[in-house]
Amino acid sequence: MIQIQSLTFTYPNGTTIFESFSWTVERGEAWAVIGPSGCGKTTLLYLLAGLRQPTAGRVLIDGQPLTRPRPRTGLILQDYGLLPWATVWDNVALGLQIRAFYGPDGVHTPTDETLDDGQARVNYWLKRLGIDHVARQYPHQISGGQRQRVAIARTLVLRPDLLLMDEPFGALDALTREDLQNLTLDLRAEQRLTTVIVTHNIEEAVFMGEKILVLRQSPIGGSQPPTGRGQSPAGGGPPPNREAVVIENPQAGSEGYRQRDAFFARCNELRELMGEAADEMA
Amino acid sequence: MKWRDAAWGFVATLVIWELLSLLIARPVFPPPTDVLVVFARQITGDLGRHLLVSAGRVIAAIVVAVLAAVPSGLGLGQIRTLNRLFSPLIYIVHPIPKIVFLPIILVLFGSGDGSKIFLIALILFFQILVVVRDEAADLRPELILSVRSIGAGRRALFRYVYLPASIPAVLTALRVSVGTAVAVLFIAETYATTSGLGYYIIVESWGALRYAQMYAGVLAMSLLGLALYFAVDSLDRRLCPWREAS
Repeated sequence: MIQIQSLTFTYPNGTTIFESFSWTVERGEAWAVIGPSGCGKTTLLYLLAGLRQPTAGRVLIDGQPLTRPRPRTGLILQDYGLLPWATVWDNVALGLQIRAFYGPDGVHTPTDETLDDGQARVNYWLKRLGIDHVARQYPHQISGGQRQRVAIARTLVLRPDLLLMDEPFGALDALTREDLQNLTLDLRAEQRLTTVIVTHNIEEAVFMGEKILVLRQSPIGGSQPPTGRGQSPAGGGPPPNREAVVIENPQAGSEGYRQRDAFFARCNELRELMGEAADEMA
Repeated sequence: MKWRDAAWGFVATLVIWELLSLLIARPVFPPPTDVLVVFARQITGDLGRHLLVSAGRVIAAIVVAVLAAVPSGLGLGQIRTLNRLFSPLIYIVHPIPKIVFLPIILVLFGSGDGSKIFLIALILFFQILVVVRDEAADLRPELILSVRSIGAGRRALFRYVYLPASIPAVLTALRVSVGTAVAVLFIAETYATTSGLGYYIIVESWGALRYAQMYAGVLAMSLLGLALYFAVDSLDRRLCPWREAS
């Protein structure tokens, strides 16, 4: 579904964060992307969302090069994504209003979009996510967990096939976070979504990602020191991501996985891998 | 402010006024009863006409200022290079009391409505510009990105993000500057004109020693300011209900 081909991305300040980076996501897969802050995971997500353009190389979704946000891709950010002046209901309806604003032009709105049932769709998702009782309230009046549910509802009401999430539960307490992780997995199965969740939390990556992409790595087993090729002009930045380091984690999301030894073993494996990377960078 | 509070404030003003006029006991400080009689008689005639002219000028100036300042403020708030270029200029020009330009504006725009409207619009423009700019600059990039990700292009961003974000800023700016606008209008209407409350108060009344009539004009001007303030307040409640929700 997603193909990243020889992607290079350089920030305006000259730091190259990806260089000749390739990565493939098949339809229906559940990915977690993990790495320390500044490793480029949010940038990768914005590239997938069509909100950033590669410096070189291509991002293909369903074989089409991505040049702008794609109507069937949903993006959920950690916070601040809701309109503070709109009620929960209006926030959930926002995407549909924008689609009605443009009409089915195939650019902003899928050509097969029908908006006649918009109100029913909004009400369905408010109910499905358990936030129908706060529909008339404003974002600052509800809890952080409820706000994320609003963000999820706003995305799902647009019937996406690809869901991108950037640290979606980072600001929430542990119980609310687990609750929303479970909900996300349920919705993924129910809506047959492909999901990419970016996180810096090892447990979250292991629970949510059937495959885990680890960023800011030297090539696996690579003992050669970073060459400095493609680094920022100041030379102070870490080396760019050149190779997709992937951990297979097929048990992710299964019943009771969080309590099993396999879960802790996988977390340790990931922790060691990230620790090695940090050592190599140092 | 509630209407009941406003009524109470009005009554308290009348009482203090009555006591002061008894204390001062000179023609230059007539009791409110005399003034209210003149006000009631003239508001349907001469005074009413001048009030309408003044109100028209302020409202026209508000419209002109909003139409010019909102897009400029949004542009400055969202485009950093533009702001870097213009903010020193705004910083220098904003604190200048715009009333000092009155002679130049009279020469350039003549003595008609144009000069008054321009002067007041100029004052409101900077107030609104600065508040809208800061509001637009405070819009989090995450908010813009997430709205773009659900399909918004430039036009929809304007309609669903920038416009609603600037409404409270405009109302805040109007709330603090509408009083100044009326004050400046008063001064502007005392020169080279034959209409408006400023003319009525200074030329027709004060100049002719008609003190009760002068106070009727002052009362009309106060009511104009109060009405504009209430209008802004009621627009705020209608357009920005989230600001009251807690």
